[in-house]
This record gives sequence, structure tokens and C-alpha cells, in this order.
Amino acid sequence: MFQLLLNGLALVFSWNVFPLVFLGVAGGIIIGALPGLTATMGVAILLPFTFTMDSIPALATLVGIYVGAIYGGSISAILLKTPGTPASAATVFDGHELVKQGEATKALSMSAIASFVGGIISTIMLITISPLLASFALKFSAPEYFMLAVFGLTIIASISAKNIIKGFLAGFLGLFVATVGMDPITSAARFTFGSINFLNGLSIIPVLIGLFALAEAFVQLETFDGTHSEKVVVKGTSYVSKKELLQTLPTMIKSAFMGTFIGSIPGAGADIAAFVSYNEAKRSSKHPEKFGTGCLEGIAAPEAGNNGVTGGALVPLLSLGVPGDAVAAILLGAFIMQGIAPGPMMFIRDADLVYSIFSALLLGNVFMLLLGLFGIRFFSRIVDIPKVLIIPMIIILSMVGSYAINNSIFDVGVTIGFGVIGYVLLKAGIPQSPIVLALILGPMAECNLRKSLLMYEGSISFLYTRPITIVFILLSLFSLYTSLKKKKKVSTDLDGE
Amino acid sequence: MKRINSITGIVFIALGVFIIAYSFTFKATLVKDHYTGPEFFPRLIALGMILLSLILIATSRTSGQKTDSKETVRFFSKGMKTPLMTMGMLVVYVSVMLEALGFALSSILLFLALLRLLEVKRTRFYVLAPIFVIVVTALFRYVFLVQLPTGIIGF
Repeated sequence: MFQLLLNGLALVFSWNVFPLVFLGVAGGIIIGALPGLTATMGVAILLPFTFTMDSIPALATLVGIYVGAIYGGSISAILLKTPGTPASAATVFDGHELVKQGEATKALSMSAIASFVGGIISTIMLITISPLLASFALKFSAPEYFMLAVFGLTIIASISAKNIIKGFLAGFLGLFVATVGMDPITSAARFTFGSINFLNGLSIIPVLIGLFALAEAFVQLETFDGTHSEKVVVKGTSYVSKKELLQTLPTMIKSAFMGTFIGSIPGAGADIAAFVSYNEAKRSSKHPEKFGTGCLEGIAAPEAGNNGVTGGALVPLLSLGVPGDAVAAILLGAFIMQGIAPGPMMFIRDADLVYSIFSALLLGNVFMLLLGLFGIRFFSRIVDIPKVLIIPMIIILSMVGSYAINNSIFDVGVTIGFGVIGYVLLKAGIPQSPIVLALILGPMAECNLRKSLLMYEGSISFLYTRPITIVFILLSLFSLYTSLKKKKKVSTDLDGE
Repeated sequence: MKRINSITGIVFIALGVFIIAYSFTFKATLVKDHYTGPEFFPRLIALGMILLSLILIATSRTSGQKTDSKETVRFFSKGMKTPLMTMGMLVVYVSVMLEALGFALSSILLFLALLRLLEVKRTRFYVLAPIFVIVVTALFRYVFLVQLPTGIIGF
């Protein structure tokens, strides 16, 4: 494993990958820092820039964007009191308080260091866990893959804790969209409406860009009121001190582990990790009353937690081929674009690629720390860019990105169509992430269900005669049960208010 | 939210019915799947969709107004005009302009139209729009070697 990692590092340190990781991290920080633009949107709109690259530079760049975007969210959270991404919402509490006290540089440097600690620990965990999980997954056959896909689909419930039924409906919509095109077993045309454009199914990337970038741009246009935020001035020149670092280190390490664990659970993302880490840091602190008043631990915990997710979310993606969250789903789309199927076989067939991704994560975190510490003044200028320019830019990038994938105007139409659908769904309170998860897991579920039925001559006994399948059934039921319980608690809390 | 949930349920039921009805038009190929067919999975999805929609409608009718009022989202708002007009512009952009005028020119026009729609008064932004589009076009064309539509002007 160590030799493979060294090979991966050598590949990432080559001249054609190294600068791309740097640019990816910088681009990710810029997108993440812009209020309202999520990490998912950042990866979706920057993804087209990697289409023509080879697989290693392309995926290394995307990993860099992911790391940068999650961290970037904290810049506007701290400076503007408006989180750049939902993952940084918890950073607002103490981050902005420090800015009010004239300690913006201290707050931003704390955030960069905590994000780095979170990212590095989660990458080490990823390097350790995913090969083990992948070697276990080599035992899987069609019935296990079918139940794994079902387990992934039950995660939809946990993503949409607000209204589970709506989340599942979104999931079913994604499953339906995945059936468009030729049937995987018999090649019969399905839902093609006689058009050749639908025969190969809808490309995932234009759908993702439509749902995550364009739909979000429409929402921003709706809420746009023409006002500009006040110009941000970074006050204070002192970075976080050595003593303060040592004091916050235990919180950072604990939050990083929590973030990695949360990230590795399909469906739970960086926003949940940040809040759980913040609450845990506050609960276990000797001075919980200081939280919310500009306490450094209040920045360290959520930032280490949310960047801890970056490595964690890649565990199920790389080892099982199941995306852990929406960003991982987009990364999976990028893998498919490159002709690579993530999963246990990738660790055998494309070990160099896997370890390059690990190395890119390590390098990306180093770049994030350096950019975070030395680029404070530059990145704080980013939050000044007016929305009136950002929204049209996102729309133009969405158009060119969706065209570039297949050189097809039809794909631009798909992006616009899904942008409109995504916008309507958002307004109706239907989440988009389940659509993406279902879009990716749908073909896996259908293909393996039908293969299993062929293997067992039409019997469904594979559901209760294979131990791993039974484990997945139990896990799916447990996932549904906990989500329903969580939903009940949310409803009770709302009634109680 | 009650009303939105009911409408959502009805829309998804309609979609489910459409999926089942359309699945009868699938034409068989020479490859045979003896236990299931191409229509099996879409119908399964449609049934799930209809069932969940019925639950959504039923629960939104029985749930108390108290909880609902906290979730209320204004589906139709005054600000909706801007995204709706943008969608209209995008339809024209993809169906007429992109092929005829090429990516660069149609995107510049789209950018300028969006600035106008957002009632931008600063001249600087109107100058920035074509610069941004030309940089993006050049990047994709000459660095990423993507053949973007050129249209009548050839760029």
C-alpha cells in the first residue's frame, strides 16, 4: 500500500497535475467563498474544465475543487456573517463575532488550519479504510449489488429529513430519468419519444449542472433585490498563536474524526458534520458559555468537521461505487465521463488512479492551508463581487459546460430543462440530492435486480439466502427507522415551539 | 404547504400513470429476458410513485395547520418574474441563437440581456460581459479544444 501511495504522490507531483490541483483548490475557494454558491454547485460548474484532461489530472483537479470549496465557505461566513456554503453555517456563530472584535485575520487563519487538520485526518482515514472495504466488496455478486443500491436509495430518507415522502418522490423521479434510453438487458428503447437523442439516455453531467447550478441561479435571481453588501475590510493582522493552536488541537482532531465518520455514511454531508462537531465541542467544553462570543474552538470544530467529510464521503464512492453525498455523486459522474467505474475493481485495475486521488487530497489540503493563510486578503475581496455579475456568469458557465461534454446543443437543452425542473422542485420543497443519488444508483439497482432474477430463475430467494444481502436489508431498515424517528422528533420539536 | 403537497402528489400520480401507459409501447427486441422485461422496472417505479403520492396527499390533508404554517413557502412570489423571464431567454438562446449566431455572440447577448433584466446601470459591467464570454470561449476552444458552435460570425 505504501508503495502505491508513493506512486500516487509521484504522479500528482508531476508537472501536468501539480498546478491543476493548485488551480482546483483556488477555484474551489473562490466558488465556496461566494455567498449562496454551494460546494456541489462549484464542482458542477467547474467540472467541464476537466472534460478534455486525462483521468488523473481531471480527478485530481476535481478533488482540489471539492477541498477548496468546502473551506471557502468559511470566508464569507466569517467576514459577511453569510455562509458561502451550508457546510459553514456553524462557523458564523463565533467567526463573525471575532471579526466584530477586529480579529478577522485570526478567525480566518484558525479556519484554514482547522480545515487542514480535518482534511488531512480524513484523507489518512480514507487511505486506511477504503482498500479494506473494497477488498470485502470483491465478494459481492449481483444480489449484493442490488441490495447495496437499495441501501443507498434508503439513504434518500435521511437526506430529506424534513419530508421523507417528498425525498422519496424525488428519488423515484431520479429512478425514472435513469430508465430513459436503451434497456440495459434487452436494448429496447424506453421513453425515447422516437428521438435518437434519448437513445443513449440522458447524460448525467448536463442533468447535474441543470439541477445544481442553473436551478440555484434561478433561485438567486428570484431573491435578488439589487442591493450590494457593504465592502469588506479585513481588520487585525495577528494570526492564531501557537498557544491558541495547541489549545484548540484536541477539538480539531476530535471534530476531524467525527466529520470523517459522518461523511462516510451515505447521505450525511458536510453541513451535518459541521453542526454535530460544533455541538459536541460546546457540550464537552469547560467553558460552553464562551461559544458564540468569538471563541476559537467554535471555529475550529465546525471547520475541522466539515473538511473531515471530504475524505469520508469518498470512502463509499471509491470502495463501493456508491456516492456518499451530492458532491460525491458529481465526482462519480466525472469518473463515468472518464470511462472509469468506481468500486472494488478499481483498486485492482486502476490502483494508480486511486492512490493519485488520495495523494491529490493530501496535496489539495496543503494548498488549501497555504492559500488560506497567505491569500486572506485576496480571497476576502472575492466576497465583494456583486451577485449581479455572478449569476449571469454561472448561467454562461452552465451553458458552455453542458455543451462541452458531447458537443451537443441537445445537452444544453437538457441542462435548461432540468434547471427549470430543479427550480420548481425547490419551490415545492422537494430536495434535489435524492434525484442525483437515484439517477446514479437506478441503473445499478435495475441491472443487478434483473441479473439476480435471471440467476435465481425468477425467484426472489436471493433476498433471504445470502448473508451479505440480509445485512444490507437490515441496514436499509435501520436507515429508514432512524430517519423516520428523526423526522418524528423534528415534528415534535416544531409542535412544541 | 398543504396545497403545494396536494398539487405535488397529483403531478407525481399523473407522471406515474404516464410511465405505466407509455411502458406498453416498448417494442421487444431479439434479446429476451424471461423473468422481467424492459417495462418491469419503470412500472415498479411508477407504482411506488403513485403510492407515495397518495400518502403525501392523505398526510397533507390530515396534518394540522399549525405545523404547516411554519413550513409555508410562497410558491408564487413577486420575484418569480425574473427567473421566468430568464428561462424564456434561455429557451430562445438554445433553440434559435446558439446554432445561428454561435456560442460567443449568443452568450454575449444573453449576458447583456440578463444585466438589463437585473436593471444594472453600471457601464463597467456591460463592458465586462463580452470580456468574460470571450475569455471562456477562448479557454474552451484553444485550451480544452472543444468545438463550440461558431454560427455566422465564425467565432
